[in-house]
Amino acid sequence: MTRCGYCGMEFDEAAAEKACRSCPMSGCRMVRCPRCGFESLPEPRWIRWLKNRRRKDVAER
Amino acid sequence: MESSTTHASVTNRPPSPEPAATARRLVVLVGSPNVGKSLLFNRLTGAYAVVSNYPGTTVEITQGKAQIGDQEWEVADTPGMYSLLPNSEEERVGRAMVLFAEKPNAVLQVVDAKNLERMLAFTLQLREAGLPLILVLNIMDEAEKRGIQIDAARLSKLLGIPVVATVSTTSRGIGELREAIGRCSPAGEFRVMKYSRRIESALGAIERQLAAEGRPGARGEALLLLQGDADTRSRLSAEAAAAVEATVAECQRGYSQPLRYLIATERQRQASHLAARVMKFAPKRPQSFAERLSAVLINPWTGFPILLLVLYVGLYKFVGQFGAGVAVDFLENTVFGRYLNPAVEALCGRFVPWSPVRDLLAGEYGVITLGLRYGVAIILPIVGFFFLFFSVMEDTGYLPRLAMLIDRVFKKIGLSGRGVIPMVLGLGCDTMATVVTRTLPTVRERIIATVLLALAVPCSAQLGLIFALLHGNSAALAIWAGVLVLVFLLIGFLCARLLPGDPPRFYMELPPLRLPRIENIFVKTYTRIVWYFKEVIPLFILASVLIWLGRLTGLFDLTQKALEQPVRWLGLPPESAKIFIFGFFRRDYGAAGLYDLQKQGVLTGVQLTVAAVTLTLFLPCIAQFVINVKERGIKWGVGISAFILVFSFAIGVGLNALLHALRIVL
Repeated sequence: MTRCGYCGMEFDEAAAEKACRSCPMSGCRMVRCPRCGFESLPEPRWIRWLKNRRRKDVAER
Repeated sequence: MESSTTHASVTNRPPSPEPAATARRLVVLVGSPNVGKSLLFNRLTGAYAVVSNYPGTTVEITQGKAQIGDQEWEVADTPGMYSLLPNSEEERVGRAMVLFAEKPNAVLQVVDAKNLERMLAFTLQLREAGLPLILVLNIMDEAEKRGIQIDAARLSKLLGIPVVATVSTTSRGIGELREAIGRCSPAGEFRVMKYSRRIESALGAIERQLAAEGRPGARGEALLLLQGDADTRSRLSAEAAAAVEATVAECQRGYSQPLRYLIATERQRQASHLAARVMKFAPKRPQSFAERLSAVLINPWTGFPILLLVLYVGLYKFVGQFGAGVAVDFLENTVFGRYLNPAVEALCGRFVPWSPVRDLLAGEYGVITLGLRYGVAIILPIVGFFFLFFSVMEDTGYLPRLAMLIDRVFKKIGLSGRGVIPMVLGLGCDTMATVVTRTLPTVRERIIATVLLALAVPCSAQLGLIFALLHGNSAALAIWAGVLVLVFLLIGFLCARLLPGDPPRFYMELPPLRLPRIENIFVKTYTRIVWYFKEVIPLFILASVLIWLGRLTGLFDLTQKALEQPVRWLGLPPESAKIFIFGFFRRDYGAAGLYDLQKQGVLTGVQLTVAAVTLTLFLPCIAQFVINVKERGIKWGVGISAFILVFSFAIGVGLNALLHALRIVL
């Protein structure tokens, strides 16, 4: 889940992809909030990996 | 509150639409925008979805499949709609899907539980149309956090339809919703809303006319006809349409206000009455510090001084003085000036015998000595500090409050608080921001925002460099900022007067104000800097290569010569022509050129101010120009650029003349 930096909405990648569908700038890699249209960059893979790992650790504990 | 599903008994039900063929089971999602419809759709269907234009329109419909019980259902997500009386093509398509074309087996109306009262009017309208409706109280967790309790069982009984409480982000209530869809049958008992006697009499007459057309008991359709819906009227025979028109005209004669308004008002009154019976609010608690601070930030008397303070500390001191001053000085003079450039020049002199290739790598406009130096030593520290500042703004929740604060000012220039999104993003990159103007609700607002972005919103690197250039000269900085704000407001005001259309409306729910988290700020800043390296640095190198090619072919010198005369009109030395060519490649590239020129000491204070103003207002960069044409069409795209070219030079010439006439020395 991503939190929009503008309106605070939490959304998943599928919803963001839908918001981007009609954009002419294909391949810009930005993530667009489906509620307000604010754009942000997706987190790099290694940061997502670290976050997931930490979540897992917390869950196991 | 527990999510609950209740289904009222089926007695005296209003007529329902013709049932769908048994082989195909269709559920359609409807509801106003921003209620979590898309996420709910994903929860029902999984990741797979097909997106296609609705036949004969450009409106996109998302369709998928869901396994509910032992049956496969088709699921269709409609664009956001507020009522069955459409105001846009999207609403028209949504209405056609549920009312006329698709004959769904179930219609899910998704509402934001926090705003149930406002959304119940549409529920009543869907109910009047006799659709097999399920009301989904979504975002229930946020409603509960605010102390709102909704008696879903009672609401279900009063409406005669299943009511399910869900939280689509966590899948809460999705199981109950699937069960409700599986059990969905034509709507149950519902005490039909009564309007005034005169309206009821007209409705009765229209219903009889519809019955004669072979559509008995279509009260929902009759209501649409009474409210003057042209689409519904066009589905009637010529005689029936004429009869309906006469009935509507006769009914209207008894009122001074339009029937559409009277019916909507009565429906909203009933919705409020219904909401009062099923909603309970926790007693008001005292405001928290964050809530008090939030109120201070959006109050014009306190909000504007705070905004100025934020801009002064964040942009001027942090990005302008520290980023563009200290950090640039170290990277440019020490890293590049003392070590990298001399090393590259020495290596090229020793190992590259061909003069053109030496020029390409380490010449005056070389890939390393100019392209990389601009990209890494001058622009990177500035955008890096800007990204850090922006990430803090984002993480605190200040941006939506900024939108609320300047909504009133923006309305004067034909925009609303919503226009803050592209304007703020424009400080990062105007090209991206121009694409984001699509989120503005009207074409008029999109055009105004595009013009203002191209003309008077500098990108972060350009802004930082100009702060760095002018920070020791507060009068020059004040003139630059004053001209820019004046141009922004004047052009916006003129656009708002000249372009036809209704004034914009703005409504926004504020997310809570929170303390920024170091982890979030680090991730956001890091992500943006990686993006800058991947997407922007190659453009700087490309620009160096193009300039190198231009110099080889003589095209660069020719263009520079052609610009020398207009540059003289600005009172600038002829060598400053090249910064305008750089500026067309990228705005920040032009500003970096001005930075270089200032370092060489060829500009006076007045010349620097005039150049900074003209360059900020100057043509958008190539990428933004292309996007302007793509987004607004060739006429507007080229028109905006032609206007900006003439206007920016005119302002520069005028400012130069004024400063000289007033004998101002900066």
